[in-house]
Amino acid sequence: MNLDSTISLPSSEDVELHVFGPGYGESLLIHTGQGRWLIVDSCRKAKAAAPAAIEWLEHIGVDPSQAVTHIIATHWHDDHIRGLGETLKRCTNATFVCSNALLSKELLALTEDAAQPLMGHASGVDEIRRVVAELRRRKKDDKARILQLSGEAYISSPVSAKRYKPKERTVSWAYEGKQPTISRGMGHIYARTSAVDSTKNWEIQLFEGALPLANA
Amino acid sequence: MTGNTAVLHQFFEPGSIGDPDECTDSDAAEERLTAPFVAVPEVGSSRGKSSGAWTNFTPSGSEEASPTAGGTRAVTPPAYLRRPQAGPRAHFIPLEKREGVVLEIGDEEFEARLVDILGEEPDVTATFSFSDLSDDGLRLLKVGAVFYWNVGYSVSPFGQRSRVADLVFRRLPARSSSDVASAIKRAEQIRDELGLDN
Repeated sequence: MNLDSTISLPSSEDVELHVFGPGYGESLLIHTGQGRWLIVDSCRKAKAAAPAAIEWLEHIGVDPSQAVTHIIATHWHDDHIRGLGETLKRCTNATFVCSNALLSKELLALTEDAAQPLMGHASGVDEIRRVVAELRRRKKDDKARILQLSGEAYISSPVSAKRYKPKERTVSWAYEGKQPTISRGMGHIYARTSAVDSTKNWEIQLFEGALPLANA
Repeated sequence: MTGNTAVLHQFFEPGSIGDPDECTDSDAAEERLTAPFVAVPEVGSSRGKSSGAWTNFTPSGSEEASPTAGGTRAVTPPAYLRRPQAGPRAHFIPLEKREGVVLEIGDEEFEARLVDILGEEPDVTATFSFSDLSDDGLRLLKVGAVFYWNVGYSVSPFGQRSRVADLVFRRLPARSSSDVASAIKRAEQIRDELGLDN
């Protein structure tokens, strides 16, 4: 990834959104204020590379293990979870947020079965197993924080200025323009909105009600 | 022991069978007295690292087992146990290994996204002709199907290199009900560990 050296650390009041991706399976990195970040999905330039969001945080001098409060896995498509296991491993204080389906008995059984010897499987199976292995490891240390959601959910930010309705899938973001940076299969755009009371109003909006996004 | 093929031949020289005192290789003599048959060498043993010539183990060189004074017999190992002759073999040198996912299927070609399994290159989207597929491959072709695409050099036993690309669709072996039940049980254990309700 061509890391832009001109981008500075956001101030504590800034809300900042980064979008990484090769044109599919994007990963979002959001500064929710006060030096706290959350990550949505994961992608990376190549298998040997660090997840894009982690790479960026380290590039600007932020320690993911301390600063990332939430990792949100939207769904299991291979291109949305590449590097998700490593992301979770690096963000040791993060709560893992996912749909009920992602850790359902049926899906876990599928990954367990697919990982048996002689069973060919796509790389996404290994990625889910890495996530589960890390969650199990943390559980043993009593440090696993898992938040499972049912139904549709949106992240509602202070700048959203509206509450979403079911089936409303378009999310807009007002920001100062920044041309995308694209290099070797990985694009990166970012937006920053200043002077927002970012200590309030972040929540995961469920359609059964809103769930405060703790620490964000 | 120091035995190798040459020593064995020396040991089984006609006239020496049944007379271990004449053998200068004490280890070989001991083995001959205790082993019911001439042993096929284990992989990694000193004998296994020998020149690999397994012929003429018996004094006469015949395929028949020959009784010896101590009841020990020397036999020529059956063909399927004989050590293959050392020499160059055909092999494959991988240059690129990618996992592909079919995105779109046209009339004569299909588009796929390729992920570098070796982890060095970014994803690429590529178009393949149906003519790249075998009949079996064509039957497995559908949107979302996973395949493996290997590019590399095929090297003949004589060292001739040819660049080849191999496209193989993933096939899932049949699963028995006990396989599935076992996977479900492991899934339930994981959910228990994570504190999730089953």
